[in-house]
Amino acid sequence: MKQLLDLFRYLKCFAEISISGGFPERFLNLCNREKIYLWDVMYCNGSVTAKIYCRDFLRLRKIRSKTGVKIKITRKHGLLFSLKKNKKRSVLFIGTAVALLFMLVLNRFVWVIDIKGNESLSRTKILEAAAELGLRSGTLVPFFDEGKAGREIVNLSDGKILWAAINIKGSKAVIEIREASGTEEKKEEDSSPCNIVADFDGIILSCETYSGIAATAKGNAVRVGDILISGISENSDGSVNFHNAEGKITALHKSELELVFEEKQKAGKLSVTEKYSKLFAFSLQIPLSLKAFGDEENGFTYREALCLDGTVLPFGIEHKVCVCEGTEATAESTLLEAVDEFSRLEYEKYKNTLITSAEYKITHSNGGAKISSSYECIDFIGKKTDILQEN
Amino acid sequence: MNKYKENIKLHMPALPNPHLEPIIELTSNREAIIEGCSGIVEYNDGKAAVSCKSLLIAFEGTDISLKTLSGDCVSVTGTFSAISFSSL
Repeated sequence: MKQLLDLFRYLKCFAEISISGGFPERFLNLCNREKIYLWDVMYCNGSVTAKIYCRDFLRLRKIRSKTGVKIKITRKHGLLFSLKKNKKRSVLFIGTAVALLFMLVLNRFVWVIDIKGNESLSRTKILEAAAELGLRSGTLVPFFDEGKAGREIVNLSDGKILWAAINIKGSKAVIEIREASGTEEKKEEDSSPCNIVADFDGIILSCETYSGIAATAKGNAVRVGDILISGISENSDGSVNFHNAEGKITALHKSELELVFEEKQKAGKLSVTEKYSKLFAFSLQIPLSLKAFGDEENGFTYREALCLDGTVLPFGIEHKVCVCEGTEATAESTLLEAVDEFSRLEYEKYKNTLITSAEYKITHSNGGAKISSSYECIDFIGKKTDILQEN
Repeated sequence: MNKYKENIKLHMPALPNPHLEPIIELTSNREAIIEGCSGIVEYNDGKAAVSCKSLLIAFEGTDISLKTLSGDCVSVTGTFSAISFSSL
């Protein structure tokens, strides 16, 4: 509250005055009667100091002559005094005004595009689809229809996106999507009697039975084909009921992966021949070299953008790199390519599996490379097998 | 009904009239807000005397200052060692 009052007084402009001689008490009383507001009245070194608004100061002449006091301005406070003091620094005010205008104008554009909810769809593809609809870094916010663009993204996705919405908050656009993933399989519920059997060898870590009778427990070792959850239950009177066994069972098991990479598959590693850079700000691009980069050359583009508190800003440097294939393969380049291929295979096979330990072995043979690995994994075990009934 | 009114009239205590008598709000020995004052009688480094309609209130101490002075309301701050009352 005090800060607000001080701000108000600063905007209204006030002065510190010193009153000496005469009758200062009568001076204070007359000011009060004339509704001249004084505050912070203090006695200091034989004189009375007070603060008064500048407009009220102009009315003190009559009171001064009546009371015979001497009034002296010791200090001035206020916005107008500050502006007058910095009158010669016009560039400072122009710069401040330009900066405010710059901020107001830039706030009307989209700076950053964030994507949420994408798991299998790549960010690049979604951004390309959004760019086709007019949403990119530098899009003018008032001329962009968020609702229409959100609906159009679903149409452009060929059924891969169930729902999409674009929300623009300030200068940041957030694209939220929901992917269509395996919903058709889940809808087909098979209610025919079945057992759940192990589809690989392992040790049971957990067993949750939703329907049927559990035929195994935690810690048991199972082999391929062993019944884990039975769909047949026997009643006390000897009759039998059939169920569609349901449950979640996890098991620890061992797995192996091997890749033999031959040298003749690749001619050699890629090497960088040329590199060009340019500064970018929104859609404006300033080249940093005199050479031109043709589209027909082999290469790729990547950006290094400024980042502020986790938010990527549309300013930075864009690099274009021209590459070409080497003519001579080396053991090192063959090994690097083999590792790259193996990593891709490993990801494809074990992306839904929890790997607890892994051992890798790399051997060189006949100019090529052989990579083999063994894993200990935790995975869901069990597949449904129908129970055949004789009528 | 008239008898009831008479009883009320006899037993009701006399309330202070805010228009005639000053109201002093004291915060420890650091601040005093006086409403209903008519002017400053004396003011120096160690003393400030405020006159009300029929009363003179003097504040003695150190660093005595008049924080606000508007209309019939005065705010006196400082470290009070004594507050005295005398009739005018």
